Amino acid sequence: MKLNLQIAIANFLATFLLVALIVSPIYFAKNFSQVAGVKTESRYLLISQTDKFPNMTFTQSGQTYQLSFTKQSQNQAFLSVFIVNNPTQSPQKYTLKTPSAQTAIFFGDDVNNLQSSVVVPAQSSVPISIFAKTDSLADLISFTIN
Amino acid sequence: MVAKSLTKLIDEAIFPALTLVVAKMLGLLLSAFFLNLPFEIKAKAIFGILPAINFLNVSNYITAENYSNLAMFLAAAIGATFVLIRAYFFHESHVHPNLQAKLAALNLENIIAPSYHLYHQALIWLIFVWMTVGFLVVSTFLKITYPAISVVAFILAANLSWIFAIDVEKEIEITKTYQ
Repeated sequence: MKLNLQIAIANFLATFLLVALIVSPIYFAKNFSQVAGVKTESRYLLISQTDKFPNMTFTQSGQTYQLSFTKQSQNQAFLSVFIVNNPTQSPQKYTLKTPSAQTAIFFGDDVNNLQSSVVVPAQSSVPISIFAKTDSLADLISFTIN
Repeated sequence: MVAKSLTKLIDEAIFPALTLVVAKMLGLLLSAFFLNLPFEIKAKAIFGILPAINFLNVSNYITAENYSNLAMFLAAAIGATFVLIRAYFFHESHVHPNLQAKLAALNLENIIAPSYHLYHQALIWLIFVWMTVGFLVVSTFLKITYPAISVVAFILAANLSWIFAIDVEKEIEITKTYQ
């Protein structure tokens, strides 16, 4: 009984070794060469559409983005000012953070549904819009995307 | 303890596995050298121990990958061809007496091998050839390998398998005749 178990275990291990010997060159061939660019890609791509809006200036300082603009009225929404693209192969969650309390920056273009966080499927995009409610006609907002 | 065939297959699998790995490495390095494709070495990328070659952009990677895959397949095909030639002409069960006499005169009788040895070798080499063809086909579907390479590889593998099947058929007929 004990010898049969040992024989079975030895045969199993030998089969496993044979399969590993056959599969390992194929695994090696698949992974030996890689593309450096793909391995270091960013989690998101921010595409600016600020040139479509008059009197709007967009600057970036590290991971912080700044947008200065002039409004036509006290409450004004600017829709699809930016587009966030997910270039990765898996869904990504993005969160907008801004220190400004009066100017809202949100995903999508529905001012009645201000979403500061969204899950974007792979290879998809989502617009970013701004809803400014400040008293002055000139406004400045800074934000980050996490 | 372990089945004799299994042990023999493991023995015969080591050399083809090493051949494929070396052919892939040489293919990548030679294509990077002759086609001036810049690359960097990334440590501990395979099995946590072996380094990997990183190309700077996708087109360089695809070019090098195609040449190296072709080199790997050719290495497998040449190995299988060599074993099948040996199985067809230098098979102990049906070697031509004149040929055997000439080999004996040249002291090359050790080229002639028995079925047990030849068929285990041929089986392993053909498994590697077909695994490589499978890898090339998957790579083609992922838009990395050129389709022409996969098609040629498949045709070559099919022909090698057919030659092996003919030799096995001949061996079965010989066995039936002498029983």
